[in-house]
Amino acid sequence: MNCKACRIEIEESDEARPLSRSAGAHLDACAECRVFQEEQTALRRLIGSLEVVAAPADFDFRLRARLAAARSDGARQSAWSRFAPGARAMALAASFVLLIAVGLIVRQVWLSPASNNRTQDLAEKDSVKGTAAPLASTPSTSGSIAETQKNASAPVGIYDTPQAMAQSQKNANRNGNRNAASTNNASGNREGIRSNDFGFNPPAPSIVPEGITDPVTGPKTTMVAVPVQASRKSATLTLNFGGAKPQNISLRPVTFGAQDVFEQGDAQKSLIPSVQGIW
Amino acid sequence: MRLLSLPALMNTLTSIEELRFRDGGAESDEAVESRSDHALLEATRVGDEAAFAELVSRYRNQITNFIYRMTNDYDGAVDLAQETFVRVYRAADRYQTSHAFSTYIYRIATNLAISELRKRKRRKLVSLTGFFHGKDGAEPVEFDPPDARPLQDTAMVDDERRKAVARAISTLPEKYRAPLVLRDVEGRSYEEIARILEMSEGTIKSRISRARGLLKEKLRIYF
Repeated sequence: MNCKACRIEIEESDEARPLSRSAGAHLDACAECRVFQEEQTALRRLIGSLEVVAAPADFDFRLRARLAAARSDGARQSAWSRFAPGARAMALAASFVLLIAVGLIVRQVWLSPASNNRTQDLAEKDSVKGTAAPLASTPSTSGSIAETQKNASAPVGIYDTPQAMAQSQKNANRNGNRNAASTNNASGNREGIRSNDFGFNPPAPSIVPEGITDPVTGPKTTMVAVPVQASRKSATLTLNFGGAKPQNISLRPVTFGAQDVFEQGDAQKSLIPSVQGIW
Repeated sequence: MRLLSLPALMNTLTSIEELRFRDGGAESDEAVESRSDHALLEATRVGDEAAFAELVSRYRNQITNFIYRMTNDYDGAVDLAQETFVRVYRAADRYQTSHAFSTYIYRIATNLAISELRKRKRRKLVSLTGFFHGKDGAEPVEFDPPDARPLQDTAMVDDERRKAVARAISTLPEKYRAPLVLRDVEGRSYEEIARILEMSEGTIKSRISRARGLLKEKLRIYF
């Protein structure tokens, strides 16, 4: 027997049961294992010297009180459980309420004017795809879309004839606020279309750069130029109804604050062309 | 664990009758005492509280002693021992006789003691005698300064040695403590310890060997 096997046997042995003959023979020959055995025996005696602790005298009495308390708790719980719904029922009800709440929120979001307009925009985009002029969508916030639609249904503009006005109104109804973008796109000038970012869409469709034919309303529409750099000054519109005496209308300046950018020094001349954008 | 003081327990009672284990019938005390643990638990299951009282009287000291050696806290040990019996009583319907009742009740007591030790660890109780820890997360080193005073009394020395042993056991990691206490304090067989702790016998032997090695280092000055 080697030392390892001997030590395992020593560790697993009971004091009442003596070691095997081979382990005894190894111990006679191996001093280290003998020391190991002595230490093990001493340690076990030391642990065995611990006094046995007994339960206190009132152990039974307290245990009975505890059991009685547990019984009354149990009775109270079972009485409550007759009326209270179970955890599963509670969880089911909670998930049902949550589902309804989520459904209501989704419905509210889906039926909101913004989403309606967005849906219409998408549908309109599909329907206008076949037109000659490419339409560019203007950046707009959700809050401005409804405003745009409302304004687009009653376009402000200058028309040669009532037919032209009717045609323009029809187009405006069809295309909404895209007229402005499309005309702007046609002029190759996409800079300056920023007013929509403020959540307000002005009746832009009728205001187009001077000298450019509106691709939608046709050549009969008179174009009106509104130079941005002159926004601090009053603008004058000339209305010409073919043959009749032209009428001049003076528009009071409207300040949004952004004009300040354009009115600073040389930047005004170098960066801004005659028609900068549409408010 | 819910610690209930005696006045608090008394407040939960509706009558003093609840404090008596009711007799299960005309069975004499001798007849109850001669029954096996399984039979007593079977009787408890059908409402024989005298049978349960007999079970309590058989195991209360063993369980209290075992938990005390695990936790080194007498009041806590008594409370946990009572909790052990409450759980046995409540789960009497679910008890299966595949193992010895002693294995079953020791398993409950061990689980309660280990839970209590883990709670204490979470609470990070500071032991005034356990400030010194080994390097690199090694086992805690018991602070036990040498006492140079002359010996007063042999009994006092023995008492001090026992306290040192109890403290040394209480500083063992719980995975080593439970098998060691069951083996060297309670005198359980390896097979039974393996069933109580639900581990293989090999693991139990290995852990007991390791626990003894740690104790040997801690208690070297005593032998």
